[in-house]
Amino acid sequence: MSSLGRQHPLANVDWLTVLVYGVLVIFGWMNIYSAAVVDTHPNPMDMSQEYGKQFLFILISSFLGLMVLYMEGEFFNKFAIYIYGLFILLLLLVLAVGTTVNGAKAWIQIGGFALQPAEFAKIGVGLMLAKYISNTKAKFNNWKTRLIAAVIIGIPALLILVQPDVGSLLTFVAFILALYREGLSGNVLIIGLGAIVFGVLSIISGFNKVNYPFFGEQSGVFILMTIVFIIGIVFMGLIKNFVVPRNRKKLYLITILSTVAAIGFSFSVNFMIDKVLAKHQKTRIYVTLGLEEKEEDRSEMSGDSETAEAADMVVKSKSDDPGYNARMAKIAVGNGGFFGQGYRQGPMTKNKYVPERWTDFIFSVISEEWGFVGSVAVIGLFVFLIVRLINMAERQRSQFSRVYGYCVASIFFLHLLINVGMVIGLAPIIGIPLPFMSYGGSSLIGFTLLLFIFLRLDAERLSVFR
Amino acid sequence: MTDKDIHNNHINQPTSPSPSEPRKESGVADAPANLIHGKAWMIFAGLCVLAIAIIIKVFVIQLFPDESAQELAQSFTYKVNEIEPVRGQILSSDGSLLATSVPEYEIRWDAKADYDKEEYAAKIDSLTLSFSRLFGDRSPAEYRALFKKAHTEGNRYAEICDHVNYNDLQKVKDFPFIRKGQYKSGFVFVQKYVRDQPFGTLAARTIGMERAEHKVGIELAYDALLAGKKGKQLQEKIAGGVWKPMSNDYIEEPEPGADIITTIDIHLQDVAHTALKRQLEQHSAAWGCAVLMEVETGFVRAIANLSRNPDTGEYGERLNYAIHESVEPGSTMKLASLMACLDDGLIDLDDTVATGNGIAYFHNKPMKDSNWDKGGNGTITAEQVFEKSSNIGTAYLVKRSYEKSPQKFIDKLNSFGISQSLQIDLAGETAPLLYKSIKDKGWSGLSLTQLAIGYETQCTPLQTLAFYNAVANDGKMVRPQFVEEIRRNGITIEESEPIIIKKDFCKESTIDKCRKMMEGVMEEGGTADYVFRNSPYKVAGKTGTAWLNENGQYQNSRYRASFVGYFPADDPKYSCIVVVNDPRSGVYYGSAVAAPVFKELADKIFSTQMEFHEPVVQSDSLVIAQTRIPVSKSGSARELKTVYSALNIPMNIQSESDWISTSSSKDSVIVTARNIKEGMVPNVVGMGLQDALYLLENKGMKVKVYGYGTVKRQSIPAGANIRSNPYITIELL
Repeated sequence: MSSLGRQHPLANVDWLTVLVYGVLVIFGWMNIYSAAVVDTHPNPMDMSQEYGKQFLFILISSFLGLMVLYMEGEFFNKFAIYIYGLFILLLLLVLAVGTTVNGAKAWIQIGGFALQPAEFAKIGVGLMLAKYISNTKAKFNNWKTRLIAAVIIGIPALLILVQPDVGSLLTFVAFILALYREGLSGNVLIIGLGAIVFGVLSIISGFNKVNYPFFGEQSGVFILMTIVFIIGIVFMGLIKNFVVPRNRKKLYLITILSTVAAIGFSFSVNFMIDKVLAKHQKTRIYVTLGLEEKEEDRSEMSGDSETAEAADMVVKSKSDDPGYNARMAKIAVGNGGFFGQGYRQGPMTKNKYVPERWTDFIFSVISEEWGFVGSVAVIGLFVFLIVRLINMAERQRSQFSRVYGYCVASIFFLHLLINVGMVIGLAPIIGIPLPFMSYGGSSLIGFTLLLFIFLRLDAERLSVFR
Repeated sequence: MTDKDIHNNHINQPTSPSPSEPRKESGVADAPANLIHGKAWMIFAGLCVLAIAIIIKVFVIQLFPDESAQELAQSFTYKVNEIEPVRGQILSSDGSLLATSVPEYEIRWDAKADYDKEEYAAKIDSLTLSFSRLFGDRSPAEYRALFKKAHTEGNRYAEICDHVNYNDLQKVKDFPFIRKGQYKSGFVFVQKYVRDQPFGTLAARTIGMERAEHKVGIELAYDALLAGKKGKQLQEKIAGGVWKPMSNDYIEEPEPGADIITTIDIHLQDVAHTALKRQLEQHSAAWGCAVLMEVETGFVRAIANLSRNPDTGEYGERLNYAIHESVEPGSTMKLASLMACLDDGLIDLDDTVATGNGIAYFHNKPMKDSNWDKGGNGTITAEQVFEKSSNIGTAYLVKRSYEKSPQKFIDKLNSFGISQSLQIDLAGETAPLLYKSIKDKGWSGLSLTQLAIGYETQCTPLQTLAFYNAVANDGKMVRPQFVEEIRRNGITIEESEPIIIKKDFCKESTIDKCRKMMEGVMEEGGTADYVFRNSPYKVAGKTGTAWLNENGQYQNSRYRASFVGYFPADDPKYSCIVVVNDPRSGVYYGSAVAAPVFKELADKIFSTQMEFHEPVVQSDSLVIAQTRIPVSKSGSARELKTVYSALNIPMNIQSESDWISTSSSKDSVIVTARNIKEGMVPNVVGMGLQDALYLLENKGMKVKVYGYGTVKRQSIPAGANIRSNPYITIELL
């Protein structure tokens, strides 16, 4: 398989996508400047400041992106397994020599810069999955294929979990979306979604302590388990009375299995929360589900008005206030209004109330200073980009390119969803960057390579068939 | 590989075109292509749903931020707090503060604070004693009980004192235990603002009250401007439940309220208040009001409303009678009645009317003149009717003019604008009551003559004043105004202009005649001829004495006395109305009860305002010839010489030095040097205290001073050695 005639390497590149990429990167840089600017260093290219470094990262990314466009798309297919292997090695390396920031051993320090291998690992996984699926004509209706795909995703995911960097780990869910496109049963997604809903229910019920007769005060999750159990019995009854006998056995089995699974799941979710998760992770989940407030409500309701007032007066410091980040970000977003406070005018941003505002919370800066109009514009650009990528993926003749394209689109989608979701309080505070816009060399270069490799593959869509 | 190959390879797979490029089918796939396509759409749809969900959430947060912020603020330690701006001040036209916001403190204690328990136990007795001594509202034991209660309850915000002013707070901060500081004692001082009226009850009702509900007066009318705009600031909760700003920046800067400069002149207000109060007390009246207005502009310079507190018998500002109390005007209405006749050309000033013996019957109802018991007024001119305030005369003149067409009389009165509200800025003005047509309810055969003398109609004192003011102002009726200027941060944002609400409401000649009649009231034979007899200025006005009507019944020998007019009569500058309701002293005529207040105001204005006085022109030489050379103290040569030369006082300098003594001769000041020698006590006799102290203390002496004036004696004579005794006493006389 080779190129069809001699064409200029940049012919057929999807320049519209490049344009959207450029707009997001430049706008992101502008907002990083607004969020991080120090009066003594007003130069946006001051290398001692975040915005100066980001400028450098933009230059490096542009160079690398252009290089990728000049390469042969074939390279990525051929070397997919080596690229994958390289990033696995990097992930191993980081566990050995990495430095720890915010509790995660995720960084390899090289001179003045730190490399975050997890941001690059996605490229390797995407290429590897594409290679595996296109080479073996894998079918997702057999367990072997599913297992191999799971291993490809699982190895780097496991290494990232060890760091531990739950945020980066979560973005690996994106690959499941790509697999769904390639024939993975929708049931997997539905079961996954159901598990999430049921898990949330379990956490909420487990959060409330209930005084049981004979057993004393215990987790409320037992009530949920009882309800599930009763529903199981009711279903058995229904099956017995309304289903033809030859189908009964199978349905009994399904009902019993799913009831046991549900009970076991809700128990293990609470076990995880109580015994496995760190305290701050636990509180983050509670805050997202709105449970932390509830606890205070209860203490207020318990006393008379005066002691309630006193309870309200309890002093909390920033460090043991679990909802601080979330609240500051949400206030900043709310402060934006329709048209925003204006560029470099956002008080929440200026006064440094929002933590990590140039990295993971950059969207709060955009929202505060550019308002609803700016927020929607950014979300709109991302949605446009993702839809464009899906559309591009669908037009590939090569399955390799298509699978990779879906991986890229899904990764952007998940990042957008979780990052914006956490800023506006729809998702727990999970430290993942907003692609192209958040400050950070590893993430910008990583996302650029991820995107431009697909642009390269897409540019060759007419001439290759892999 | 070519396009054809692709087709050949996948010819038996059902394909469906993708929307953008119909010719290029989706490529190799394991599942049927249409299914895959469906999955692509599923993903696309899911993406859209989530994107829309995010946008909706952003929309909700950004466009309804308060709700979410409040929701967040419920139980957390950081929130966006509203910052109350400082309420604007209300000032008098001469710049005195009429209403301002002053800080006041609440003292609270956090029983669970991290204070030194031993220190607390040791100091609690002296602390409670200090509280009791400073505020005197509770005994030390009672204060102690407060702390104890807070302690047992674990109250983190126990109230110890309220309404503590700034000075007392400084003292409290120096109390034992509290001295240790907020964090070490658990004390919290909560600042609040309260509205203070430095002039107390002066014009209190018009300035108004600033309270959460039922604001009144200017505080109400200009509330939006006074209030300013709330700001927003991110604050964190610190010990004791106090919110502290996280930085000095605001999310939204609070905009301080604007200052309202009223038209009130504090000196005239003081006179009006005091004079009215005296009259009310003297005559044991129920209530009274006095309003002084500038003729040309309608600016109200003084407005006093006093009523008797039925429990204590004291007079105070409670209701704004001047703008609210709509009453039958009585005799003051006669101006309008006669003005109508005059303006329609139906009578003239020298037309005569027979008022008889003081009692006349209209529709078998008697009408009396005030001197009916002395035989009445007999036959008098129209002008005299007004000056003597003859009810019968007025009634006959109006009846004669309008008997055939009473509607014309009503129309004429209405055309003067006296049936309309003045629409002043302040709330609470009662609209006047006046027949619009003879078909109106209540109109009877008696109405024409009753209306002529000021019954069967109602208006407020201010409305009456506005009408009289119009006559003084050459027929231009202006709206009474209470606010002269609005300033924000010292910059004028609005200045009041006179507002003319009715122009040319009668002929110029009618105005002249009316003014002549009003001047006549103060002249021989007029109802108020004695009041202004010795005044250096001329007043025009009208007295009024109306029967009180309670529950539809006219009360025997209960009256409302009033006086309304303007001055100086030739060139009116101020108009004024004084109403005294229900005097119980036996004296009830407007001239005796109400006019004195008018007179006191007029006296004050006349004596203090330059424009009423011819400047005394005298030449410089004349001044010197008349003046003796002033006596001056001894002292610094430079300063004294500066003063003398500035005042053109000739100096006779006999000897020069830094310090001099002076003595006055017939035509000049004799200046002689006063030698001050090193190490010797100087002579300070004849000097002022400032110079004496300067000299002595500079020599290193310790000075004790008695008395005022100039130094008469010094305990150590001049020339003595300072070192032997640096303590000196000087006596001033």
